[in-house]
Amino acid sequence: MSEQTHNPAVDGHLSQEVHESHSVQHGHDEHAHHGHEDHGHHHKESFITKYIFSQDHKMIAKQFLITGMFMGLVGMMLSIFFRLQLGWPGQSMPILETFLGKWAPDGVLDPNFYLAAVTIHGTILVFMVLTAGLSGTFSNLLIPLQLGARDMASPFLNMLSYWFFFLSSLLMMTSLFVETGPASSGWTVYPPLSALPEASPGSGLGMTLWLFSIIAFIVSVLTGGLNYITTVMNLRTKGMSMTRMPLTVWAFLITAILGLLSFPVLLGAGLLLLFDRSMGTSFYLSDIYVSGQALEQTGGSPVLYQHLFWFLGHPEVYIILLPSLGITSEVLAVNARKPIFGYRAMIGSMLAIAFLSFIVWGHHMYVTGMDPLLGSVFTFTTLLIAIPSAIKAFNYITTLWKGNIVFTPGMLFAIGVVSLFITGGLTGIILADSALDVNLHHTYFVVAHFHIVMGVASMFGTFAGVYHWFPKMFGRMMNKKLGYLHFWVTLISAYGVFFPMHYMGLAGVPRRYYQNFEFFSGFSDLNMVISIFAIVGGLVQFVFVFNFFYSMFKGPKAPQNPWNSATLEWTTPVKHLHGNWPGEIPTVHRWPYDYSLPNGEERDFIPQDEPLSEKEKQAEPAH
Amino acid sequence: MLLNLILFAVVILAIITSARLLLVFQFAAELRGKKAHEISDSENNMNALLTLLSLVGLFAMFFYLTATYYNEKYIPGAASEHGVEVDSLLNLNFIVITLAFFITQLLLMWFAYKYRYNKKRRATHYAHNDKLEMIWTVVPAIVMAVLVLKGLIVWNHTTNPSPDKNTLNLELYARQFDWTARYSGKDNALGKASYTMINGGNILGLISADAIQEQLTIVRGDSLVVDSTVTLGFLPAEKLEDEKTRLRRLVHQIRTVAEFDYQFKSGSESYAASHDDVLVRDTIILPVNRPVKLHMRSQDVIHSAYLPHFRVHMYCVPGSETYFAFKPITTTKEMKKKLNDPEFEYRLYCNNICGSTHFNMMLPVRVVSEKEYAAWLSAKSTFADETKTRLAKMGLKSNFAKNN
Ligand code: HEM
Ligand SMILES: [Cu+2]
Ligand SMILES: [Cu+2]
Repeated sequence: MSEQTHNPAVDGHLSQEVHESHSVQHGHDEHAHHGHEDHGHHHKESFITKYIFSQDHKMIAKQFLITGMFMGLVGMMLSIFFRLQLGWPGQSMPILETFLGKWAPDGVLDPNFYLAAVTIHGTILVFMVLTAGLSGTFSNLLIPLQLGARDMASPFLNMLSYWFFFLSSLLMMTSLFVETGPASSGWTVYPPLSALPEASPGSGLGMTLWLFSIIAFIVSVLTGGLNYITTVMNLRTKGMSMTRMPLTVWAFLITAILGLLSFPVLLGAGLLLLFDRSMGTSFYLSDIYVSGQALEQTGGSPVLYQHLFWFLGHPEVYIILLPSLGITSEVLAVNARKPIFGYRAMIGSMLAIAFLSFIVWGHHMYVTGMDPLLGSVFTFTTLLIAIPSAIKAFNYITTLWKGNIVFTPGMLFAIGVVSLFITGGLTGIILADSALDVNLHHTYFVVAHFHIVMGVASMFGTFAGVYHWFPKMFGRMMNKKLGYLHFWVTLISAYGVFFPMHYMGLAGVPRRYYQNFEFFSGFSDLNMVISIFAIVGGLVQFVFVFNFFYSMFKGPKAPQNPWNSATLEWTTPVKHLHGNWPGEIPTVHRWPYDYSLPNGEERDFIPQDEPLSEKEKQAEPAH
Repeated sequence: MLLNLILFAVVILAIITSARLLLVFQFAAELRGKKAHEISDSENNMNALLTLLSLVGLFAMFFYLTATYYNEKYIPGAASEHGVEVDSLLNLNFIVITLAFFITQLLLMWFAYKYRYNKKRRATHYAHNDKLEMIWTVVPAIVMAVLVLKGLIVWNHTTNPSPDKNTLNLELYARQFDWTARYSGKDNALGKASYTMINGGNILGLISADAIQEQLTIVRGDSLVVDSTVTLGFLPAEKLEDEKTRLRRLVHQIRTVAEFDYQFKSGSESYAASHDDVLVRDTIILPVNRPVKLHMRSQDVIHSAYLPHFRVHMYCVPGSETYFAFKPITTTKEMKKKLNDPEFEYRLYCNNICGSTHFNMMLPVRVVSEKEYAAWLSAKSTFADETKTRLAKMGLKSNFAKNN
């Protein structure tokens, strides 16, 4: 492991590769990889090129992770603020004034800021945390490492992807500080509310910043996604056929494709909204009378915006969820010391989910006045998704069956993902049904459903990934005791916050309400309990943050392969180097799940780069 | 301020102390030869046990919440005809998903507990089983097929109720941040409306000969005022832009209203259907057992008419009209008795985020007998009457000297 020293043989080889790599087909040359301009002297990188404008996928992964964590904390704090209002409506909370100043005069949240907080909370968690923070981190870290590539196909685009994400986060944060307040029309920013500053103060400058933030975000997703797809298609090491890829990489690939196909539609929707806001067009506006004036715009359709938004919006929930499911597959298999059950079915069901996710967007729009027949079609397509989802759930459960389960913090979070995915997925069956959704649309039932299945489940997937690959990222171990504390308190509070919300939703309590729960008999108490769980759950995240930064600097040194995992990332040296492997890239000889083979072998796993033994060659054709 | 500073200092100190402590523990563990990445037997056992406990906890929470809240008091049964069907569909769905919830969570957490790490055991390499996978593809598919079919039947009944001549046409008109209900009166037809007809008195922008006259007077007056401010040019540049925009809008508005005027005068439109319409802004009264067709409109942004007790919900979209038909089957009085709550009211909520006091945009709804309904409605003044009064105040003469 002499990554520190200059290795002329490797570098010479690299530079030759740079010129040839265009014509190199994947699989033919185990070293196929991109070139990086400074390959001859990467040990002399300056602080700026190493930590800031880095083009190394591992560093970019960490940048995504830490930015995502910061945004996550902001989003979480916002939710605690509005939970304080919901739990104890109208009560003065000095802490609110400390943090929010004029938005909480005398410690009572301003109703406009309540909506703004909900909006920015949703936007940050959906986009900045669980799209960029999750995909950005783990696609970047794991695609090259698990496929045996020296870096992404285009490290430069990769760097741009991070910086556009950074710009996007910056704009979103800036919008929190403008005079008229941030966007406050919900994370879906439906026009006309979002188009008319007269209708809501947040639809002024705050909304403009929101739109520019999202545009920058889309650029980030697209540059990132192009890179992930190209890398998976072209830079797999020798022997790494598509059906030998770990399920993580499959999930990241499918996620990237989803993003590439759906985010441009959001860009279109956003641009048209910008035009309506500033150029007097009427894509979404028609027959509006606001603040004493009848607008000239006629002929537009606000519902058109919703079609465009949800054409992204639904795939987006899978963009959030699939990477978590991929991580779960990997972490479950490693720690159950068993192959993932039904590898091919897992890929098949992910592909099915991805395909179906493009033809179900109307389930968010059953009560917009759309044709009932169209509603029937969307009910049908949506309920189809239940089938591949069920396959995944049962395959996860069977993966645990007769395993030898090691309860690492990562494993606990992965089991948590499965539990939450099931709980939240099942209520989806109800919401998919147009006849039932009529009465549940925009109630707390929906808040409960999407938080459990998408929000918390994906958060758990992210945590599973962080605990599992922390040693790979930072060369040190996180503290497991704190990890256990983090897991159990988070699990209890997640269920404590979101499970009771189902019952409020069934009683018809609308979401995005600042107060007035007294009209729904007796839910004031429940609201208080929910808020307490939310506060406890929020506080324990600081244990995680502490553990994260502490371990980054002071944690015990990680061994080469702490979890005895079979995938390629654990064959790289603990200490990072640009190009990942000091010598040749390993060749892959088997699938990633050779755990506990019944072949008299003492080890309970065989790394992917280990050639088949004589016995194996006779026994079975390669996976 | 000082308090905040102290708080801040305490937090920082706590972090530093925790880090120090952790470092000490870490050293101690290293000295005892423990490896940070290895999970000890006691840790495995403890977490396995907690997993089992959390299964119990999850089920206990489910039972507690369901027993406490899934009942008439908190979630009253539907008070509309299609709502009853919706409720039984919901119950069927709940039975299915509750069953699935119990089976899968039980298997998941039980396996996690049972197969916790044991040095002496080896996991079973079990990579796939086509038969098993076929089972959990086909079984959910069949269950889904049943649910889809049942769902579509109820959906069909909800959205296509059998036609009934007796159906009451009622408009729900939304704006920031209140509701107006418009009853269609004797002719059971809602008069035409346009957003260009809106003014302080005619908030729904209904069209009638009188209303046209009123609106032309108001809008022409406004445009003269704005026109002169713009031409005089005393305004700062920014304000000037605003006023120019306003003028443009007024001109557009005058053109539209003048068109209505022309239609009326040329005899191609009588705009008479609005005359007997009745506007209500305090409580919506509905006759029991009579189908109602709600016509939804909005003045400014998207609102949504949500009547949870009737399982009714539909967006109010500016620029177009949406509908929802239903039949209330339980009077408010009956409901009060059933829930043992003398304060009970049905309510219309706004359920689409629409601005600062969105949460407060609601109206009580009362279901009464047909007789009570008729008596209540006949005491209300009509749109034509109200417009005539306003015209008189403006010194204008009504087109309809005779009461109509
Ligand atoms: C700290 C834990 C969290 C708490 C206590 C929390 C609480 C809430 C609540 C109560 C609402 C609804 C407010 C309302 O409708 O009036 C809400 C909205 C939302 N949350 Fe969370 N949430 C949490 C975490 C998350 C996560 C992890 C996600 C990631 C997907 C998320 C995404 C959203 C979204 C998209 C909305 C909708 C925003 C909107 O209505 O426009 N939340 N949250
Ligand atoms: Cu969806
Ligand atoms: Cu509203």
